[in-house]
Amino acid sequence: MAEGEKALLEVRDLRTHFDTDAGTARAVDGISFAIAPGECVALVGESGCGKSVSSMSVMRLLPSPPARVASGQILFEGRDLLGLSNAEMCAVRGKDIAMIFQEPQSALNPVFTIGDQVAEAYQIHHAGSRPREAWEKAVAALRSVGIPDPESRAKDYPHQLSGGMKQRVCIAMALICSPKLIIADEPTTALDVTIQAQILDLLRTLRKEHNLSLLLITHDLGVVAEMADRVCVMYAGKIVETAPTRELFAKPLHPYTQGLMRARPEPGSSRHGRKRLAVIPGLVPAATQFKDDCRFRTRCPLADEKCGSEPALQAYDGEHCAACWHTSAAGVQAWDARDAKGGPA
Amino acid sequence: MSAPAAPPAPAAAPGVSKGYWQLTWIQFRKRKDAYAGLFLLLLLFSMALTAPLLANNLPWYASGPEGVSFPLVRDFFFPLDHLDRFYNLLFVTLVLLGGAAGLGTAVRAKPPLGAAWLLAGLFAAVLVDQLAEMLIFLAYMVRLSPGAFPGLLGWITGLVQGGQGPEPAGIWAVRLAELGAIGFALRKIFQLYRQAQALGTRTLWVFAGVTLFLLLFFVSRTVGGRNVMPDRYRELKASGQGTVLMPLIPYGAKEPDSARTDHPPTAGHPLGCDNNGFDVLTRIIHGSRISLAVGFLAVGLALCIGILVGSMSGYFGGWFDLLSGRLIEVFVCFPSFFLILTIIAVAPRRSIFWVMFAIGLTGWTGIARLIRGEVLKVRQLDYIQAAKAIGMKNSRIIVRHILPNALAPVLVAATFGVAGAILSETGLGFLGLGVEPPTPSWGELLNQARQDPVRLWWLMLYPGLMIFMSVTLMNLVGEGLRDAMDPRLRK
Repeated sequence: MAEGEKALLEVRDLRTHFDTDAGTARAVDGISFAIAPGECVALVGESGCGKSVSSMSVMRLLPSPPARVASGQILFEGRDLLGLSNAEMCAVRGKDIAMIFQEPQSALNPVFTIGDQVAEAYQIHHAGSRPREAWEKAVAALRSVGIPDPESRAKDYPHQLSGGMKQRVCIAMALICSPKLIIADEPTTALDVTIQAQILDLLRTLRKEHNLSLLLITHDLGVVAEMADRVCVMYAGKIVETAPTRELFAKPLHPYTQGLMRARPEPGSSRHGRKRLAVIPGLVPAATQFKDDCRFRTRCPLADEKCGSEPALQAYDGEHCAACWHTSAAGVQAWDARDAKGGPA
Repeated sequence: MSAPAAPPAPAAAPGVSKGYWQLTWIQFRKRKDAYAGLFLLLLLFSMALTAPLLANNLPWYASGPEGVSFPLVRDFFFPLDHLDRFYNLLFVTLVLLGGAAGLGTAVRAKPPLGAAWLLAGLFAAVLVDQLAEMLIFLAYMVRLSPGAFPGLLGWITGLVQGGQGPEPAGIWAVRLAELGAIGFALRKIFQLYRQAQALGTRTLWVFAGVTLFLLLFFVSRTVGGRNVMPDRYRELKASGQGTVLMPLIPYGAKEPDSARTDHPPTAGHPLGCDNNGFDVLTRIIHGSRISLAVGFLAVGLALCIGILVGSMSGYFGGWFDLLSGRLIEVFVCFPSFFLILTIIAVAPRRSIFWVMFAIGLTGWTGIARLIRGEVLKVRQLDYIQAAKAIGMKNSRIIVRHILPNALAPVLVAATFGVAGAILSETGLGFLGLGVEPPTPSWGELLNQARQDPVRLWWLMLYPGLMIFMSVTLMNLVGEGLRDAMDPRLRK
């Protein structure tokens, strides 16, 4: 985000912890990011790194207990969402911030027609609106997300639609109250590749049309490259690197990001004389076991005694920040060396 | 709209794939016994709905020196008993709606149906005539005795006629509250209509039916019941001065014939007479009203409590879940029939509504547990999260999104519950704790047979058969429904 620009959403030092029998799981542990009006920010990371929990924390959709926001602020247009009452939060959800879910198959209620569900989303935030008006808005919304023949399609039940169509319906539901920010939690993961492209296309078009901000949660770097203005890479509940998309792809600083970039499948790639997919060995540590060291230490090729203390997120090159003691191109060579040593097992 | 190019339409064409209830219905019809059971059950229902038209001591039609009259029809609108009023007016509502539907079909038919037009015209004439008669009668009664009407209507008539003496202090507050309630109800009805319009014709029909029923009930209730005079028509018939057309079974459900106590079956009384000289067939026909009403209303009460408690404890969990779980356990601990007996024993008066209340109050635990389990299953589905994410409130999520997906198994339990409630009611009647004596009930007939079941075999056999039949039918339908809803049994 450029200097002086006012953020639409600003998350400051958010910590979301879960109280479990095995101890406190620090699923999100002090992340900060901001989204400017009209900007698309991607949260990237592998499964279990806290991407979804961060987005659910913003919407305050996590069941509590066990979830608990231990500290932090979530400022939406300068207002702290964490301080709102339940009723006030209901007025924000859908109206100011809307959400698109991963599985369109299960995100729609099977017993109502899709028109009903989209119209309902409109009626919730337009109390006293005539049902017919809501229905017409719903049909218009369905048309704007590219559902063919929306007048008759609106009377269909979810099971009569394909996965891509259902995701379009979910997008229509999210858009109908013209929110300022949309949180898309892996919106294309459950869809096949051609449909993915269509949905991403649609999201991009709608974003431009309505000047929407988008918080995109994904583990797919291809989606990030295509959609995002800025990227936050998450690892084990922390943001380890954040940069404008182009810069991140050109010059990843954190060894984890470098590892992620290498782990992208490339068809027929004979780079480094092998066709095997590069992997980051090991697993993300369990959220109950986090210590105050660099959490990537156990898997990092560059790890040394310095990594016993936690690195802070530092700016390196303008907006490009990383949290690592060894930020350099050395990481890439270290990954290559490790690959060569481990060999194609 | 600048939308991206639309992809080809999904494979399922509209109307090809079927909804959940359509599939259930298709499955249900495959079980012949359950299907036949449903048909017979509907017959039983029609019998209950039309009981006063089948067996009554008032004539359908009477003409004599005083002119022509339809005593049975008039009594049908203004019965003495609340339960009778409910059934009668339900029947009237159904007939009116059916007639209106027929009228609509006749008007829209191409080519126009002559016979349908004729029927529709006849129906409209009868409707206008009946409503006019009701209104005239209402006006007559109001003029006759304004003080007799409690509430707003009495107040208005009092105003019109210049009052009738001092009113108790504070009555104005009551009137105002009433006025507010009526205004609120009207506004609500108006809103519902507006919503129903958007929801489609079927919902509109339901709303029309409910409104019509409530309207009729209000008028009938305000007018109150009238004491009928069957003797007048009998004398008319005996004197030979006029024509009297009686129903098929010309006996009143509450009019005993003391000359015929414990009379065995004959041509005039095909199922005999009971201890008090009531015709058994008439009592059985009218008794079906009690049994079905107890069955459905008691289960309705159980459903209301069960759904409320079950859905809240399943959705919110926490201390409410804990508390309601223990409450259910306490209720389950008691043998329910003795709990019902206790409630009946402490009830301020003997009435059918207390019986329903007692049976309903002891029957909700199973339903609450069932609902709780279903809600626990449904609430963690994605569309509930999605509903929250568009800013929906908890109450609306429960009513709109969780309950419709959690109700199917409860429906099956409710069907079996109706059969159980019918049995409980007859059990109470058999013990002499059911409805008050002049009201007909199957259990009460069995109770009479108790003194000498061999000699009074008809008092045991026929009501017993009816109980057996209705309970079996309910269970058959319940089983059919259960199998039809079970996806594992679908082929």
